[in-house]
Amino acid sequence: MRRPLLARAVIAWLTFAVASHAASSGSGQRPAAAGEIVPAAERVLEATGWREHRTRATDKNLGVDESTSAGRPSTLGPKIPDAMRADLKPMLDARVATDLGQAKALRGEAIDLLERFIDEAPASSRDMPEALVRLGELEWELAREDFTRRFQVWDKQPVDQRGPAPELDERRARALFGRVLRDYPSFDQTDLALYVDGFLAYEQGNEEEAVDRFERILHDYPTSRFTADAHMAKAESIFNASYDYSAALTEYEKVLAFKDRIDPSLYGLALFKSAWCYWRLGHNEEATKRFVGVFAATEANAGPRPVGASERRQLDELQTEALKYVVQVFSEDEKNTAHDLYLFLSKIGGQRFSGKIVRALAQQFYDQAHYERGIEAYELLLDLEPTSPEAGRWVLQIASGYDAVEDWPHVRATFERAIAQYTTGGPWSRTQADTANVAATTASIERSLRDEATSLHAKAQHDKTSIAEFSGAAAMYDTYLSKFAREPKAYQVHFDLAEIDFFRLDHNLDAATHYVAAARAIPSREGDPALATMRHDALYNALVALSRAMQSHAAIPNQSAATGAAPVSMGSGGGDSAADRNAGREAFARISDAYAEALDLYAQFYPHDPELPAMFYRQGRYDFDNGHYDAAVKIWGMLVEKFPSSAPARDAGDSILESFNRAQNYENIETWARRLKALPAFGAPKAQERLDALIVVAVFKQGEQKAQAGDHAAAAAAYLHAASEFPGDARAAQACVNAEQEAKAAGDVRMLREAAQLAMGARYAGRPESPVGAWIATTTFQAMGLFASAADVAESMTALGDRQHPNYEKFEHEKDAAYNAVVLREAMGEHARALADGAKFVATYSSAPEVDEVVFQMGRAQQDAGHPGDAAELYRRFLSRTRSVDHRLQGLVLLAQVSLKLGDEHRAENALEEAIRLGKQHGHDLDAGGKTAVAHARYMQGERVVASFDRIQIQGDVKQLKARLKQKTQLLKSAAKVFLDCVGFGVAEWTTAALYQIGRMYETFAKALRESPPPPEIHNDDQRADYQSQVEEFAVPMEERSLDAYENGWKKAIDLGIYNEWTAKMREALGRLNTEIYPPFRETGFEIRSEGPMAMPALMDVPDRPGAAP
Amino acid sequence: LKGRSKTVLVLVLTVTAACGGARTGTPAEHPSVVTRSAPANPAATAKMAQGIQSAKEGKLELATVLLRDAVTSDGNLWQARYDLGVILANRGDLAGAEDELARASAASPDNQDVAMALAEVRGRRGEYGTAAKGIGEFVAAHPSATAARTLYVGALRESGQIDESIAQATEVLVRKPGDPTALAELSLAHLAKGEKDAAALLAKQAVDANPNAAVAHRATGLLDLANGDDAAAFAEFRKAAQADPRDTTSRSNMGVVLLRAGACVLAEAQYREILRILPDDQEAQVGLAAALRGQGDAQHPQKYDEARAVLERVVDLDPHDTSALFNLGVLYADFLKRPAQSAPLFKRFLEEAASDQPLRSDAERYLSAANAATIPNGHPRLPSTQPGATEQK
Repeated sequence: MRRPLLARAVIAWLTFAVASHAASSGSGQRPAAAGEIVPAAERVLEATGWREHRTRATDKNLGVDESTSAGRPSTLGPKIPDAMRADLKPMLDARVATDLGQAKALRGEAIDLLERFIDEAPASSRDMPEALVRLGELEWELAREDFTRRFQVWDKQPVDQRGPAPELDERRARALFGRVLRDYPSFDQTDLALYVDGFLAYEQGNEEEAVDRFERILHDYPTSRFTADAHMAKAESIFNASYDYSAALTEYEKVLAFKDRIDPSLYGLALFKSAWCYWRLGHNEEATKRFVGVFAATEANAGPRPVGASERRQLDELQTEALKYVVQVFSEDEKNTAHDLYLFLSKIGGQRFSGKIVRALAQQFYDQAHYERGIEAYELLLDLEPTSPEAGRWVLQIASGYDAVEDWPHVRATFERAIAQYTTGGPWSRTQADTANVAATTASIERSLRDEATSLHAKAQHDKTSIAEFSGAAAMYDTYLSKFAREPKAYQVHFDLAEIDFFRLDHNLDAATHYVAAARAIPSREGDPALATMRHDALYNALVALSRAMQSHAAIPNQSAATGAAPVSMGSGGGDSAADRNAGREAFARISDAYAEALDLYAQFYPHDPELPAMFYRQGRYDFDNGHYDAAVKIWGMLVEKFPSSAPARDAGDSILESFNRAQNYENIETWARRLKALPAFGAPKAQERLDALIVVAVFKQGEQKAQAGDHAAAAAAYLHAASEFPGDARAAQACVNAEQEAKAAGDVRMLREAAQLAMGARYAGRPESPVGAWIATTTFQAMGLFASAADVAESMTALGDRQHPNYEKFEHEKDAAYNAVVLREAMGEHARALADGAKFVATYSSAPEVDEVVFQMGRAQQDAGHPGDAAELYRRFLSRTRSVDHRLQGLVLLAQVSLKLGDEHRAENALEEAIRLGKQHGHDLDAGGKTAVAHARYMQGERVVASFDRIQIQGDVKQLKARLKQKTQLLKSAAKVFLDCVGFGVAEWTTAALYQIGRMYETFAKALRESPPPPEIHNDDQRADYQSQVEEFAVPMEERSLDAYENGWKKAIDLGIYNEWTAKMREALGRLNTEIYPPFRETGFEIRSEGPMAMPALMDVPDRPGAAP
Repeated sequence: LKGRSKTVLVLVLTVTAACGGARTGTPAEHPSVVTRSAPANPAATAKMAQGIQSAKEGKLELATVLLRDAVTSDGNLWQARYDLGVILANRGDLAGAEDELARASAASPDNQDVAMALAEVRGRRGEYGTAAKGIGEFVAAHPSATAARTLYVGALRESGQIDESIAQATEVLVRKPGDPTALAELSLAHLAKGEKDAAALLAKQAVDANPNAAVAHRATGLLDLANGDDAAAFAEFRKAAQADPRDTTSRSNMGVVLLRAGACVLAEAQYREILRILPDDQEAQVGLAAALRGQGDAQHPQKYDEARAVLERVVDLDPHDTSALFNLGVLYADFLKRPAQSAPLFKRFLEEAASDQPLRSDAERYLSAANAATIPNGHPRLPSTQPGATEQK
């Protein structure tokens, strides 16, 4: 297959361009730095004529050069496959040769026989005229064959040696026909002889003789089967000889009169020629009608009988001619459009031929350079046959038409339409059964569009000044890529588009994008220098384009930069508004990212380019100097990763850190410092040391930053991380403390615990920050209600408070921690640990004022643990050393309590006596605790009297009753005295309790009297009544005293505003003793509660929701 | 305990008066999830606005009607349903309130106000388990909603789930170390568990954290009560009431202490203060009636009538209130000397009261006595005794 001219041209151009560029770039020209590099030269597409490219390529792409314009093949039905045909050809040729040989032999034999008959038979023989006719026919054949042979011989000779051209010698044949016409006038086939002889005369150029023969047929044999042919021959003679179209038309009309009796080919030819005549006579409409009539006449089933292949071919040729002339006739009038033709065909009932005719018309318009009318014709075709298999090609023809008139927007629009509708997957393709045709159409569109764009690109280069053409070409490349970006040759389109963007339109970013795409897509075929050069140029120019783009945005400073010199303005960067600046920065960032990508790609393809590290570094520096730190870091990061051993890598690493430092991005400083540590460029001990220091600072700064931002959990993690990893740093201990504070704020108990453990651990226990951290931890746990954790930390603090840890020993809250440990353990019911903590506290802080409280706590712990003896011992030791009177009083009461529990009445009494003595001695100097203790002690003394009182039973030996009653009365008085004495201390609780006890003693005494069984000597009711009377004499006064005591006590409590259980008990007793005045309280429904009803939350406003239509 | 934080956290509870103002219902500590709602029916929102205005003007009955209209017009207007629930709760219709708030909660499951209001109403109905379950689900979905979690702590404690209550209170404290409310709640949980020492330490921490925190003083008072120190408890309750005049729980507890001590005048004052804040608090009304009855005597018979009126209102509003039924029966039987009128009350009490209610035997005794005092034709006999004397004041 021949290579399209355009393709050859492109290849030639490529070769030329590659060679020329290799010459220019081979000197090591590289993108030295942004803004400094010189791009690879633009490739020139005008090595060959652009117009030729386009036209021929379009024709080829449309497939019109081989089949469509030549019409359809005449052979119908199944064909012999080409392979089989090739195999059979020698056999077929041999067979044909054999047959022809046999035919010639038979013909020679027939001629011999007929000549012998004519020579030997008498002239009057009845068969003579027929023999003459048959021999004439064979001689005619022989003459034609001989002429053909002689012509071939003549034709093979050199022109200058040929001599006159051989002529057809039909004299022998004509002589035989002439003899028949002359000698046998009554021969029944004279009309045949006349017709053949006339035909031969016509072939010999003897038209007069020919006309004479045909006229004789018409005159002498009006019903001959050759009448129509004779009219036809006559008409042709007139038509060709005299150009008397009117006369010829008359004869043609006579032929046409035999419509149903003659062959379709004759009828069709007559009709065709009649149309010609009308055309020449200026009757275009009738001419067109007849030309169209030829279509009907030459249709496959038009005639009265089936036609053979040869005749069919003739009919097809006639139809083709008719079509040609229909179009010609119609297009003569420049006002006629395809639509007019369609209307005309509709009018004459020829719509079914409209497609065929409009196709031809469209082609005719194009051939006549009437592109607008051709486009309209193709558009009409698309309307008439939207699902035609050829529809895609028609669209391409339309594009070609627009191309011809250089209407680039329409070219692009047409290709967009072709892509959208006539490629695989489009609406047209879904109507097609022939997938191969769809694929071929798609391929045609792809090829045409590519060629179209390339051609326009070449033209633009040729014209040099037309930006519109470059823009048009770029637009078409874009259109191409919108659909065919994955085509194998798309890289070429990317490249060419990039060239336009870069060299012609100043679209640097777009250019870079397409250069990079091209570089990625260029096939990596080994040993193809053209492609290698193209890739190199693509990447090279991409970098240059991006450099230029960056320069145009460099004037926008990066506001995220914390410090740094103001960037130098290097171009127009947009407006002054904040939005403009933001947009500018974003644009720069995008360009910078693209640059990094391109450079990365460059490095992938040309990793050994010694200039690469420097290129990376310079670009990073450029970004950095313009305040675009993110971009700088990205590209430097690539440098460090790709060329870790290079000298620029070290500078890049330092610059990265500097960049993050300016941006105060400590997280990245840490990350990068760690990465840099592993690089050979930073392998020197000093460099490692410096990086370590940087990491520490960064980690600490992260904590500060996150804390300031309110991200306490992250801050805690950062501080903890710093403290864990860098224990040797001076700030590490403080980091623990900070971690605790941040964990507290974050509510992260686990982190708090971890930080506290770290702070108190071996690494930091000697640091002054350690106890601070521990104290924060224990108080925080305490505030969280996590007493166990709080106590653990407090105990740990206490354990650390030794000489080995002077910072703990001297810590201001060390004692508080020890104290808290006791309280917390006791609160949790961990008595043993509370006692241990207490003992340690007392031993460590023996002179501290808190010791007394600790001892009390320990005493309680001992009691709660079921060790009253130990508690008593503890209190005794306490009393021996405490100097506070108030505390001594409290200790004495506690000692009395445990002594009573131990059954040691004596010790209890002594303790209480001592308490009363001290209380009375120090009277007004006592604090509330001391006063309460004294009152309590006095009350306990009263209770002890009451206990003695209760132990004396009234019932028993009557003889001793009086003594018992006396004793009981004595005790009652004593108790009342003690309780009244207790009231004198003015402590509310014990006052009301004492008053109640007084009343209760009288009440129980009266009750006991009444309930005591009568003595045995009482036998009758009188005695019993007398006894009861005597008892009442004692009991009633007792009860009255009881009532008085309760009433006075209750009133006093109410007066004093003392509302406690004793007040309630007194009121309850009053209800018992005097229901009339003090009715008992029987109501229910009010209980002490821990959780009562809260006020309901506030009402909500009407929601702010869009209202629906009412 | 040493080393307490010097920081004073002022707990701002969003317990503004139900009718005192309106807001949008945005949770204070948890961002509401904005759900796309259908456009509100303008007619419904108009009714809702009128309802809110009526509530602000104290016309709660009219507000109820208007808000019912609003939710009928627009079933998706959960804000109106919430408002209706709040007003019904404030009017004492706790069952109706729970129903509306439950539906509002279903429509707006992320709103803290709704969740808390529902839990509050359930608590008032004694449904602490249900309250805990509901508010617990909200807290699980909104872990940072500490106000709701604090309410959850109380509900858990009241429903007997002490350990979980402690765990949740600790969870609040982890998020808000030293929060006096949470410390107090944790204290009460430990107290409920019998761990008085831990409770005492926590209560002290709560008071130290915020001496003006009513809940801290209330917890301390309860601890004092548990330790038998009623006077100290009363003092703490008083401090709580001073710190937060709207702390009706402390006032109620003071009322109980005063009633037990026989200080009925003072008890009446406390209950009246509660009823000023929560006009339909049934327990306060029962307490008030007791305080009034305690002041009644021959010279002050109107006190009995006042007590009767209060109790009858409670019974009218909630016919199942066994305390009001019993106390009204006692009032009729012992003080108004109209045993015939006490009989149906004791009868109803026996029908309503639980089988293990300790006052059942008293009620049966009263009922028996009342029946004996009633002639066969059903007319009550004339009282045979005069009303008794009252306490001295």
